Order: sequence, then C-alpha cells, then structure tokens
Amino acid sequence: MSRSAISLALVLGLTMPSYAGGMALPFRGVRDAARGGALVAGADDAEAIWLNPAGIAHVTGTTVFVTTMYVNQQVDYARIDSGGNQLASISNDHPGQPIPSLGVVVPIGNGRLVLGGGTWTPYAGLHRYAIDGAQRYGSISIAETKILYLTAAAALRVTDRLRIGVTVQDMVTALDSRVVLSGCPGQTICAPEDPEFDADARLKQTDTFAPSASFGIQFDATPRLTFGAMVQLPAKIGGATGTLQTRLPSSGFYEGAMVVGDRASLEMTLPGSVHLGVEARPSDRLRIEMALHVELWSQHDSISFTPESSIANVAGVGTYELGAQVIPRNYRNSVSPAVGGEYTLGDVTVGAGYAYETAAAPPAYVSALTVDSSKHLFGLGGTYRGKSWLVGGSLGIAKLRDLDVSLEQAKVPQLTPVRGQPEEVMINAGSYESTYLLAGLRFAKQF
Amino acid sequence: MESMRLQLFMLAATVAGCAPPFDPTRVPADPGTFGQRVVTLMCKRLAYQADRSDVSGSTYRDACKGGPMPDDAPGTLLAIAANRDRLVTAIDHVVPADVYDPLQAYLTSEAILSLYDDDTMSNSIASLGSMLIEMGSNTDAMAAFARMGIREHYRAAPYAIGPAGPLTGSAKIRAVMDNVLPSIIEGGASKAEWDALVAAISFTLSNAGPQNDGTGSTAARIASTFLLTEHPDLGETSPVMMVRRDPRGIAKVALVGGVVPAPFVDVDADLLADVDAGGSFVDANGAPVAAPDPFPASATYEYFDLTKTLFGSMANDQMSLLDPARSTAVDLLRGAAALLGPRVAAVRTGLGSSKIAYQGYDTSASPLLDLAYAFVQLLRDPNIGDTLDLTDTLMEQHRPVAARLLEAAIDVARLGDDHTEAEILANAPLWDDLRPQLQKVLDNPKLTQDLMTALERPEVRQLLARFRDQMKYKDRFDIAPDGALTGTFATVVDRTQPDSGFNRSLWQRLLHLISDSNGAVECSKAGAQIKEAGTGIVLATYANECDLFRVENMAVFYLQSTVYAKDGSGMLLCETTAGAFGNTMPGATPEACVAMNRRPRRKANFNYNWGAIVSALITTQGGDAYLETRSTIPGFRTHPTSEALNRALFQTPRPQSLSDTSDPPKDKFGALLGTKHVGTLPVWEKDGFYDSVRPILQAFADSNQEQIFVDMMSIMHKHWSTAESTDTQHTNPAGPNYTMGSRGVTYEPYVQAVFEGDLWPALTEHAAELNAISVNGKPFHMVARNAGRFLVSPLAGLTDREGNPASTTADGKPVAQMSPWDLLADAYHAKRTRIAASAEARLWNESMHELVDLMFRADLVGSTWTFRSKHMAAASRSTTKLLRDRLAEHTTTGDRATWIAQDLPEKISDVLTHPLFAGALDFVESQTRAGAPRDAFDALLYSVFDRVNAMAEYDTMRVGAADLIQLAVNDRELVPLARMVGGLLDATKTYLPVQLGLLHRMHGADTESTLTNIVARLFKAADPTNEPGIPAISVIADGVGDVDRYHPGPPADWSMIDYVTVFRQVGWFMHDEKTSMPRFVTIIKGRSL
Repeated sequence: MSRSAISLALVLGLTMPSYAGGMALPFRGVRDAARGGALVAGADDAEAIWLNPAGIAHVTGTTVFVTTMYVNQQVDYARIDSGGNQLASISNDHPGQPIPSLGVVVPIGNGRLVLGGGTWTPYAGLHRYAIDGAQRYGSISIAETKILYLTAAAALRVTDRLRIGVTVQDMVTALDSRVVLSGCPGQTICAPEDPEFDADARLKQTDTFAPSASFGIQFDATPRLTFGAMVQLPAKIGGATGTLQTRLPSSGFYEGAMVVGDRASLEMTLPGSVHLGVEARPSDRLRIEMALHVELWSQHDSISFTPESSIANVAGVGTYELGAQVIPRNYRNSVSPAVGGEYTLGDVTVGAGYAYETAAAPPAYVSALTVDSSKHLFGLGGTYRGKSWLVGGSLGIAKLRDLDVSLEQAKVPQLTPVRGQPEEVMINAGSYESTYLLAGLRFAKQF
Repeated sequence: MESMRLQLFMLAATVAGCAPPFDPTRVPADPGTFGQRVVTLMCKRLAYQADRSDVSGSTYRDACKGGPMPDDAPGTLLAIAANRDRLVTAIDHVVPADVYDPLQAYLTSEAILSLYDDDTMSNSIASLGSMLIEMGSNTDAMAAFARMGIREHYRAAPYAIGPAGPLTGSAKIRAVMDNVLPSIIEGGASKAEWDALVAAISFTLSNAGPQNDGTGSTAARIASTFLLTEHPDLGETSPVMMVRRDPRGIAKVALVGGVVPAPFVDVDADLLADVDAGGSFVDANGAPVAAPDPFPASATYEYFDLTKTLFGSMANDQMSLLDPARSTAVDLLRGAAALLGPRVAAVRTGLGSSKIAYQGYDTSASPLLDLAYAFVQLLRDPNIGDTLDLTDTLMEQHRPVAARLLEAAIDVARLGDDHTEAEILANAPLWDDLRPQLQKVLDNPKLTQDLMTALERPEVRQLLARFRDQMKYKDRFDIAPDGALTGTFATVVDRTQPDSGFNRSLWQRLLHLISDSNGAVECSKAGAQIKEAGTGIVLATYANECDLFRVENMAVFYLQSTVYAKDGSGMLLCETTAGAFGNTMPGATPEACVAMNRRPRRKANFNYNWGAIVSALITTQGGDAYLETRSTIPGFRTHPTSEALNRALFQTPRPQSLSDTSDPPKDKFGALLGTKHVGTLPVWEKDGFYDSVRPILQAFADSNQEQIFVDMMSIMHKHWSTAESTDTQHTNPAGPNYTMGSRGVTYEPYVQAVFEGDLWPALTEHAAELNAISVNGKPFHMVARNAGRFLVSPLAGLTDREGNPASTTADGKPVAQMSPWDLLADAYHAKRTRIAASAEARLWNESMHELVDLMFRADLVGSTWTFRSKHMAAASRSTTKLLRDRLAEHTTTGDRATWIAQDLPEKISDVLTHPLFAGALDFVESQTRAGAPRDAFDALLYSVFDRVNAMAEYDTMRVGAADLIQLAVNDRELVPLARMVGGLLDATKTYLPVQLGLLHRMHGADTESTLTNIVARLFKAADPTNEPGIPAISVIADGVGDVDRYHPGPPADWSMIDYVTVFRQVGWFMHDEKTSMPRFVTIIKGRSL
C-alpha cells in the first residue's frame, strides 16, 4: 500500500464544515444575543429577517442596517492518543473573528407588505491549531472558512395581529480546512500516529448555490402578548468542486509519490430548525420572551466527500485512487430554551437573556474539529435610538460543559486515504473545555 | 497603550487573516538510500509491535534511523539495530539507485497488480506462510539447521556465494524462466512429467535414510573419497582450496603427530575432534573450544586443492559435456533411459508403508542393466587385482603408451562410425564362433606370450598394410609357367556388385582358400613314381595312395611352410641345402642360420616315405637340393617353403616330377585347388608378406596350435561372404561349400581404414615395452592372458541377470554355460537391437562417443603421446582403487561373491530404475520435445560452467558442488532436511505449484529483466570488501532472522528453537491479516475504486 492512501484521507477531514453541528451558536444577531437568543416572537426590526421573517412586517420605513459580531471560541483540549497516552493540552490559537451582516427592509405600498434582503453568517467559532499538535488528526485550521446566507425576505401584515414572513436563501460557502491525515499503511511499517506518515491537507471549496428558506409567523394574542414561530429549512451543500492541496508524508515510504489532481467535492446537509417564542410586554418599557430553539441536527448524520484525484507512483502500487468516503456524524437534534428581555428607558434600551442548548454532537463524535457540548449562554446589550437611526451592542458568553471522551468512547476515526486498514484509529479521546465570547455592534437607519 | 495597539494589530492581522501558509512540498524525513528507508520502516514496524502504546513511534524513531538504540530496547529492536548497516548495504546492493524506477515500474505494472486483484498474490503468500510454519514445526530439521548454521566460512570467500550465484546471475537464466516455467505449470507441455518428477523427489527425500552398503562404507563416502582425493598429477595454476569436512560435515581438524591436537580432544579415538550435540568443538570438559573459522585458512584444519581432485579436474569437462551444440550429458541420460527397458507401470516401496506408483522400466528387458551387470561380473575374475594393478602400471609408468593405444583404439571405433556399411547379420554367430578359438589361444600361455612377443618384431609392423591391400584389391595373382609371380594390386573390389568370383577381395578369396584347405588331405597318388633325373628310369613306385607322403591338413601344412621348425629348446633348425637329408645346427635366428651358411628349416614336412634306397640315392644327389632341382620349383623340398607350395599348387604346366607323385591337389570338398582358387594364393609373395606374418604364425606353430589359426580363418570365411555371393552356398550349413552370408565382407572398407590407422603401429612399436611390464611378479602377457581367458571362458556359476547360466548364440544355438564374453555379447546385442529401434537410444552411442572423446582421447605432443584430459590417469587410478577397495571390503566381510552377483547389480538397478531417475529422464525428454525449454536449460548450464569466459562463476559452481559431495556423507543433517523437503513436496500439498504459478506470472511481467536482475544480485556478495562471499540474501536472512529468533539479537549462534521461531514468525508474517503481508495485499488490492 501506499502513501497514496493518504490523499484520500485528506479529503475527508477537509470536508468537515466549521459551522456544522453545535459549533453555530443559537444567536442570530446582535440584538438576539443581547436577549440571550430569546427573540422569535418579539423580533420586530430589520434584523428579524433571520430571526423570524414575519417580524419585518413591523418595519414602517425603509431601513438599512449593518451588524458585526466578534465571535471567539476558546478551546482547550487534552488529548488521549490512540495508544492511551495522555497528551499535553493544546488550545485554539484562533483569536476569533468579526462576523458581519447587513440588510435592507422596504415597506411596500401601504406597508402591509414589507420586503427585505441581506446577508448573514452564523455565529460559529473558528479555530487554528498547531500543525503538529495532538489534535492534528481532527483539525488544524478552519480559520479561513466563510459562510454567508444571501437572503431575500417578504412579510405580510395579514391583520393587525397576524404577521407572516418568508425568506428565500442562498447559502454561499467557502470552505477552507486543514487537517492531518495518516498515511500509515495498515500499521504494517509504522505506528498509527507516526508524524512521519502525516499528510497535511487543505481543502478549499466554494459553493455558491445552496438554496433554503424560512417561514415565520407572529401573532399578537393580546396587545401585551405575542407568539412567534419560525421554521428554517435545511440547506444542502454539494454540487460544487473544490481544490485539494496535499503535502505527502515525509516518510521514506512516500519517496517519489505525488498527488495527481486537485479537485474534490463535498456534500453535506445543514439541518433545518424550528424556533418558537412567546413575548410578553407587561409594560411599554419591558419585554420578556421565552423561546425554544430546536435544531434538527439529526439530519446531519454524515459527510460525504468525493475527491477527483489520486496519488501516483506509490511504491509498489502505482496509482492509488482516492475514493468517496462517508464520515459518520450521527448528530442529535439540539434543543435550546431561552429567556430574555429588554427594558427601554427613553432612547435607550437594555437587554439581557439566558439560554441553554443541548449538544448536537454526541460526545463520541466530538473532536477538535467540532467541539460541542451542552452549553449555557448569557447575553446582554443595549440600544440607543436616534430620530431615524439606532446603534446598539451586545456581549455574550457561552460556556460549554467540560467533556471527557474516553478512548473507548471515541468514535471519530483518524482520517486516512488507505483503504483496508486493520482497524480504525480513534483520534478524539480526551478532555475538552470550551467557551465562546461574543461582542457585537449594530447600526440601523430608517429612511 | 503600545501593547494594546500591537494586540489590535495582531487581531486585525489574524482576522484578516489567515491560516498558516500551506506549502505542499514534501519534506523527506528519510533522505537516505532505499536500503536505509527500508530498514527504517522495518524498525518502525518492530517498534510498534514491541510497544503498542507508542502510537507516534517517538520512542525509537531516531534509533530506527540509525541513532543509538537504548540498551533497554526490546530484543527485536536491538537485533535490527545491530544488523542495520549490514541490511542497508545488502538492500542497497540488491536495489541500487538506478533500479528504483525500473523496479517501481515493474511492481506497478498491470501484470503484477493483477496478481493482487485475482488473489494469486494472497494465495501464494498464504501458501508460503503455511509452508514456513510447517518447516518450523519440524524440530528435527530445525535442529539440523542449527548444527549446520554454526559452520561459518566453510568456503573461501571467492566461492562462498554458492551455485545459486552463478545460476541466477547467468544471462541465460531468463531464457530458462521464459521457456521452462510455462512448461511446468498448469497446461504446460511438461506438466505431467514435472508432477511425476516432483512426486519422485518427494518420495525419495521423504524416504531418505543413512546409506550403508553393508561394509560400513556409504555410497556418499565412497563417492567423496573417489572424487575429492588429491592427485599429485592434477592441479591448475591457481589452486582452489577447500576445507576437508569429516563425516559429520564438520571441518576436519588437522592431526598433529597422528592425533587430534589440543585444545581439541578425541575421547572416542576416532581421529575426529569431539563436538557437542550442537556440533561445536569441545574440550575435555565439554566446554566449547574457540575454534577459528576454516577460512581464512589456518593450520587448524585439513584442506585440499580442488583442482587436484578428480572432481575438480573433471568439472573442467562440464563445458564440453554441457555444450548445447552436443548436449552430451543430457543426451546420455536420454539414451540411458531408452536403454533401460520398455516403460511399465511400477511401484516403489519406501519407509514404512509409503509407496509411489510411477512409470518405471521393464528391467527384464533392459540392455543397460544387462551391460552394467555384465561389467560388474568381470569383478569375479580371481585375477582382477592383477588387472587393476596392470591398469595402474600402464597409466602411471607407461602413460604415453597407454595414451597412444587408447587413442588408436578410439580411432578405430570412430572409423566404425563412418563405415555404416559394415554390418554383420544380427543372427550371425561370428563372435560366438570365435570365442572358443580365442579361449584356446588364451588357454595356451606359451602361445599367448609368443603372440605378444611377435608383435615386437619390426617386420610385423608391415603386416596390416599387406592385409589392407588384400582387402582392397581383387586382382589375380598367378604363377607363370616359368615360376614367376604375376599380378599387381590395381583393381579395387566393386562393392556395388555381389562378392562373387573375382569381384571378391583377395582377402575374401584367401579366407575361402584357407577354409577349403582346412581339413583337406593331400597324399601321394597311388602308383606314385620316383624317376632318375637324367634317364627317367623309375627308381621307385609307391603303390598306394599316401604311401609316399600324406599331408593331413593342407591349410595347417601351408601355415607350417611359412614358419620355421624348432628344436626342443626353441632354437631354429639350421639346415644345409641337403635339407632333411643333412644335419642341422641350432640357430637363434634365421640370420644366425645364414651366418652358418645354412637356412632355417620350415616346419612343414612332407614326411616322405622314400624307402631306404631312394633316400640313399637322394642323399647322394644332394638331398633336398636334388628334390628342388627335380621339381624345378625352388624350395620344394621335404620342408617346403610357401612359395614352393604356391607353385606346386598353381604353376602350369605342372612340373612332371610332381605329377609323377601326386594328382593336382583338391580342397576338402574335392574341388581342384588350382582351378577353384586360382589367382589368389600367390599374392602372399608380394611385398614380403610371409616375413611379416611369420612371427605371428610362428607363435601358433611353436605351440603346435596352427589349427587354431586356420580354424579362426575358417570361421571368418564362414561369416565373410554375403548371401549374394555365388562362390558358396548359403542354405545348407551341413553341406559343402557353405557360408552363412553373414556379410563380414562389408567390414572390409572399414578394416582397410583401420589398417591405415595407428592401432597396429602402436601395438607393435610398443610391444616390447608392454611385454617388459611386470605386475605382482607376473609378466604382462600373463596378466593380459588371465584377463582375456577369464573373459572368454565359460565361468561356472555365472548367470545372466535372471539367474540363467545358459545362453544362446546369435543364431540361437544353446550355450550351456556362459562366459563373461557371452554375457557382454548378449548385452551388447540387446543394446544394438534397442538402438536400432529407438532414436532416443541412439543418443546413448552418440553421447558415449562424445564422452569418450572427452575423457580418453590423446594427442601426440612433440614426441610424446599425451591424454587430452588431464585427469585421465587420476580417473583411472581412482577407479582402480575404488574397485580394489570395494573388493577388499567385501572380501573381508565375506560377501564378495554375493555383492558382485546380486547386491551391486541390484543397487545399480535400483538407482537406474528409481522413480527419481525415471522422473528426471521423462522430464528431460518432455523438455526436449518441447524444444525451447531444453535449449534454454542447456545454455544456462553451459554458461555457468564456461571456464573460459566466466572462470569465477565456474569455480564457484564446482566448489559448491564439491562441498555438496562432502556434505553428502553428513547423514545426521541431511536426512532430516531431506525428509522435511520431501514432505513439503508431497502431492497433497500445493506449496510448489502455487509458488511456481506466481513465479511464472511475475516473470512474465518482467519484460525488462528487473526482477531477474534483482534476484541475481541477491545471490551476489553485498559487501565484497568486508564480507566477501556472503550473498545479500544471506545478510538479509540473517538480519530478519536475528529479529525473529526466539531470543532476538546477535551474536549468539542460532539454536534449534531459534530456527523454529524464525520459520514460524516469518510464516506468521505471511498469514497475519492485521498488520502483515496480507494487509499489504489488501491495501494494494483496494487501490482502485
């Protein structure tokens, strides 16, 4: 066998999207974060495009807005290697990144119909680790990955109490992932995690068309009580072709080998979700909402990847074709109850909230690529409203439950292009600690 | 503040930015050679196997790359670290840099990869693994390996590589693989024969056991002694030294003062240094002795120069024997097979209840076994010791003579090949008829001696030239009326015409004449008268026939007229012109008689009964001189000369004095000699024939055995003519004038050619030297006579192979008690018959001729005849010694007669009809039929024995073969190994066919000879400077073995359990599907989607 096999594995790791699973926080905007994610029924401004499109029916004048949320996921991972050895802890070196969104909402006619549009990016933590770190078989970096929802929205104020909305979305993704694959051929001439059999690989794939949609509804049961619901349809990434860069292992076994072809395609499904909320407004100044987010991560059971490349001149083999592989994810639906509220005093509104989210990723499938567990989320923020504009900000924190994955539990295999391995080498055992930090700003102006 | 700005900058840069730069350029971690990479990977495998928790391989990474290996490292790692440099060198030798790409191209060719896809590779690997495990389970064989394994440096470095080196390195190996392999795999042209051969090998090896012939000598020991004893007259410019192995296969410690020297001990006084159970030398306390390796050579051991041995010297002939243009060696075997007998189903029983059914030979109709048996029976000769000693004497002290005689004899035989027209009828008992006559000659010591002495006479040397002319020409030779001889040698026989009348050679006519005269009585006629010369007065009348004289046998009488009469002391009778009427004086030679003014008296004697008066009158007239005058024929006297008889017989008109006393002579059938045989006999007066033949005839005459001679001539006459000859009848043996029509005459051209050769000159020129030889106090003639007499005399107790003492002549007449001659004659007759019917059998003759050419021919170098083969004398010496020793041994054990009559022939039969022999011959035959495989194999063998162009390879081959001969005595090791191999080849197992199938396909893919060359390099020294003679494959095996042995690591010698472990471990490596060979196969098999 060969080093060839490696490239196969390359592809597999690269395909794991950073935003998948529990890596995307349930917050969908600066205001949403300020309310701890409890903003479904009460969404009533232009940012409602992604919270509940029915909410933009509240907008009475043309409004443009821009937000940015700095998201940083701190990860400390103390791996237990496949030999049962406790390795030194490593940390995510990525400092976090600002995630912008912008949009415009335009009432039409008598204002019963409101149209809108914008871009939005989920609040996912990115990471970057040392190339030779203990986590390398899980991931090295997804720092350059980009994801963007291009969204067109429409809301109709059906009655004074009932609003419905819909969005049509195109998810644009630019995956950029690095991971280490093992080119150790069946442990015949090497230990399974011998770094000299490591193959550093980077997948870049841009997918410009991944349609999806959402539907929202708000119903004012009373002047002080509003119910809201939103359904986000899943999106499927696939059909595009990316590029794959590979650095073959340094071991002499791969002397003379080379990768031929640099194309690859990835397919996976990002789950749909259901969001429910009920907002109470006991006074004109106070708004309190309880929300429940259910993300259907059970739809994300695997990632399939099809490289269109091979490793040539593999010693004793010649050309080793890299074939499609399916990576089991076996995620579970996550449930996130949230409660939050706002208090307005004059032109200033302050908000705060709390949410708890169950883990989408079973512990067995948690890895450096996708550090997820149940989490507590806190948010607070405020808004200052001018005559026709507003500016606001929020801070948030999400503390993930510490997770210990034993070697026996671990189910994330080492990526290897070598078919016919004697056994899978699990690479995700160990202790995980992770916290998200968020800080956002928003600005909107109504014309 | 500054720090905050910096952090912000960093943050901005990171956000904008960027993941670590990606450089796809591979950075080699193992920049060394292919060998270094391979050994590093081997080490890494071992490291992970030793510590499964070290999944990163960090603990021994540096050590695996050649760094220092920790002392507490597992044994496997210590072992490979210790062997690293050697392994790297060996692997780099096998796969040098310029082979990387070709090897990769070969291994990744579709033809090779398909082996994985169709499971050929996995099946072969599994089969190989099973075989190794089975081998490892054979503790007897493993123990043998262990004992042999300690014998290091038993061959000098230049030859240590062994025969595999030259064979795999030959440029001809590819053709063998191209042609032989396809023929022995499923569907191949020789598959059936190959399977039979393998079955035979398996049977043979499985039934291997210590060999013993009952005398304590083993066949292997006999062969070793025969072939590997040094001869002072052998040797080459560059000696090829080998250590002498003792019967245990161990280097023989040189004796000092006749005893085993210290620190070695010899408790059992067998003159061999004592060893322990493992084969290591021990001292008196049983502790190991630090004995040096045999090479470099030291004074510790006995050595011999292979070039001084018969084997080493004879190996020089291999190039000729294996020359594809002649294929002598192989064709000899093929011919032997055809002569072994008709093929029949046979069963051979081995140890226990093991049996093998095979296509054997009908030994009841085997000319080859008949020949072997016949020659073995010659050992019955009670004087065989003298014969052997005479042979030695000839070869040692009279080698030029022996060389010349042998060369001349071979030349005669070769001439026979050219004269295919020479053929006596198969049912003609010429040799049967001659045998009794030969026996008579040999029964007579004086006759034999005189005949051999006669050869010394210079005049005899001309004899065959005379015979030659007589066989060549058919001219008439007559006596003119004036007594003069007429006729010349001018007209050759027209052999396209029947041999009748005067189209018969003079020789044929002379035989006819002698035969017709043999037994013819010539007498004076009734009324014979003696008349006074001047007046014609009748002096006397003899009334009755034969009253005056009576010649009982005209042929004998004529012979006697040629030779001289002698007295009781063997002196010539020198007579005066008065002849029988005068006195005689003794004379040693005719010249002595002449010196006395006399002449030697002829032996022929009319024994005239003159009567007293006539006798007195004649005496007064001058005696025989008077009779000569009266007859008008010079020499026609009481003791007539041959010339006189010629005239008396054939001169016309017949002198009156003769007519007065006798009628014209008639032959024994009543025909007038002067008519029936006119024109023939006087030819003997030409060119001094009588002088030339006289010494021979004199020998017969001196022993009064003239009859033998004429009888022999008569026998030849009986078999000389063809059936087309009209001068004799061929239908009634009891009738007159009968000849059998045996066609002996067809030999005349051949005999002429022989007579023009060197045989006769050689015999006659060296006769004196030969006759002067004395062996064991016995003169040459006596030894030769004894041998010849034994050969031709009926021998009581002698039987053929079937136990029959009787035989038949060629024409079917019973021979109550056969002689060795009969035995040989019958065998040769059977051989000729078989050869006539079988093209394959003819190969025997052709190959034997070539073999004889190689072994026995001689040349005249300067003025000395010299054997072309340097080892001819040594071979002769060794052979006689072998026979002498064997006879002595069996004499001592008291079974000499049984050994000769039964045991040895049965052993020969067992060997020649053994399933192994039959299988090998059948396989060779099938390869020959296929053509190309045989040609390729011939070319391969020829190439490795090419001492002209490949001396190093040749020496390696012969040293390797010689060492095998030495090892053949080593039953303790060979028997278990043989049994193990035999078991592996058992037909119920598929190890061999599976591997051959794989090899065939791998070779088929090897269009650029990449694999072939790699294999060749495996059997070449990897490090000629530091480890000369150690092939790369040995280094690799050592390295791998040190890792896999029971207690991994050098340097201790491997024990039995080490071998067991190594074989099992390697077998396991072939079987283990998790991380070993099958895993590689699985991965490669999965290379494509």
